Amino acid sequence: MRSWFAYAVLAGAMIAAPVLAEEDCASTQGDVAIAARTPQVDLYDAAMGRRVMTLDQDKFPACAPIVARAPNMMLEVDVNGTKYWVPPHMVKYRFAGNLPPVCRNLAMGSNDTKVGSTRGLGEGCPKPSGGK
Amino acid sequence: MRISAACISAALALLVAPPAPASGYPDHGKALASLSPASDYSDLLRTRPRAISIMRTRAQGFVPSAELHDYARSVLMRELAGVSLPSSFQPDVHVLAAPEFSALCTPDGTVIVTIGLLEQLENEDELAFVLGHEVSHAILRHHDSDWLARSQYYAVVNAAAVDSVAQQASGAIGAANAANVARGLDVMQHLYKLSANVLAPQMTRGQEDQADAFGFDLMVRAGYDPEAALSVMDKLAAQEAEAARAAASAKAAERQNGGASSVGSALLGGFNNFAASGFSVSALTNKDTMTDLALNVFDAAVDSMSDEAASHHPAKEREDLLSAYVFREYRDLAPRNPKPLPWSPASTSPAKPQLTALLAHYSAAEDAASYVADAGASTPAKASAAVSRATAAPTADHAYTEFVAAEFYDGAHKMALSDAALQKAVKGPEPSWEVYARLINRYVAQNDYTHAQALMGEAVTRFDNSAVLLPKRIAILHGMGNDAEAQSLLPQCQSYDIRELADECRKAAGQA
Repeated sequence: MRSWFAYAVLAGAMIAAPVLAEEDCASTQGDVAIAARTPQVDLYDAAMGRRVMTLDQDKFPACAPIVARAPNMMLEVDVNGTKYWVPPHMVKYRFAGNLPPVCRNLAMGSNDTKVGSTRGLGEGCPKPSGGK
Repeated sequence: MRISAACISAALALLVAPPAPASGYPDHGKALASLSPASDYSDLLRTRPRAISIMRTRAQGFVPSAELHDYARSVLMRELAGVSLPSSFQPDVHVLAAPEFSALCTPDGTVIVTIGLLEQLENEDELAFVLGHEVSHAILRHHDSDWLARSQYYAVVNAAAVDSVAQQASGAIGAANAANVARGLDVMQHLYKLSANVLAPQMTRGQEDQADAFGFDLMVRAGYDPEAALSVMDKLAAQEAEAARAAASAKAAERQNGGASSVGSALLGGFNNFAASGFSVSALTNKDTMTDLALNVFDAAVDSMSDEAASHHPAKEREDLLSAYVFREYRDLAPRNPKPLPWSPASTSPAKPQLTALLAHYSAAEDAASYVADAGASTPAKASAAVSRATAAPTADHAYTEFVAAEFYDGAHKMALSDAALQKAVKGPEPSWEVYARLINRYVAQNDYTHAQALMGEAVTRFDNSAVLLPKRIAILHGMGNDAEAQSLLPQCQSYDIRELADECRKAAGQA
């Protein structure tokens, strides 16, 4: 006879499995806002703009594509067909490849891809001559 | 049935419940609002010379740039302006010439950031978060009373391993064995990583949370973009992911080799308790073994990092905690634009030309070092160009750039150029202990104890008679036949209460 705890674990696993699968957003290519991180998510009309809407956590769409990033790290996200800017602390996100947050500040002049101890952090980053 | 359903519901609730709030964040309000600094930091300020001395013997020493120091310090002071702190709290910033993404704070309020961290930051706001976080540890007096002793322990053990590798590398020159030189450099890079991530005295999770909250308050209060803190966390997470990959790779290699070596196995048991791990430099009598040990230590360290979360607070978790704090306390803050770093294209800082060149040259030196460690990483022509760039003004006499140049010339069997690079470094504004050690080793290898002793005399003054120097000091005296003076230094070795140091000193003096 199974204990109630075993049932609970099994039930939990059944519920958690699809959630975990969805959290990966594995089927979504490119940069993605996986889910809301905070109880509510504020939507802005521009990276330096004003708040135009607030969504409760469960209303924020899962796996929303990130279409752009601003210098102040705000993320432009496609929310049900409309583009808004969201503060990154309010969403869990995943970036594909190497994007500016993990690029070295290569303003300096080395045109070589970073290797060695910091390998991976600068690879594929914009080169100094081209800017970001 | 009802009871069972309730139990199941409760269990499910537990399963999906968010993690318990971290103790380091305030339950309500901003961390800065509840700051109650110590009334006096004089006791910690008095430890500054020793702390700086310990740091100075690490890695390639400090980056000798007044412009860089002034800039970093100005960011820190901007954050602390108006914060009620006693005059005995005198914060400062030093930049360590290490390629890792790392920062720490000594108990007296000296923030140490690495050149590798500066290279990877995107804007001043990120730097502000790093500095704010680190200085918070000092303001909140987070350091254990044995912090200096632990740091000293690490400095001694690290220096012994690096020196052993250096001796191996210098021995390899005669044998024209560039692979050994490369391996030696690789080990050194690993050791730097080790120092930054594992061996360096760490804070508890709660203390890290406190420093995150307080450092965040400081940066926002100073007008910086709050989202920059998240961006720093992303970079930390990337570092952790890299460490995890390295750990997985080390594990795979270990399996391929039929299991861990005995030393590796011992260390794998829990490297965070390194002092009790049985790691003994004195047990190692041959250079190859030392190199192997260094690699094992590194592997074990990254292994423990990825497996053992008890003393390590993953950046992703910290990011979530910080996000919740930002949401609670700063939600209505209007978006801000980050301030460019003075070496970025958008900067209008008068220091831009000097700092841009400085960082470019260190970056070039790191590229050259990567080539020396792994010839497949680049081409000789590119590496040579990187060395030329790294050793031009304003970094022509910097220890890090010249040391890398010396290594590069070693590999190319251009000993005169290699020696010249080391000589330039040792006469520069901030020569590292490693540069001294390398040159001294070369003199000793040529039985030129006169020059070795003279150079050691300089080093003793420069490094405030550091414990790190003692074994080599004794070895030189012993080599010169001055055993009485060599023996007279043994009590100094013992006074640090570091078994490995005492053993190394006895060995250097010719004692079993």
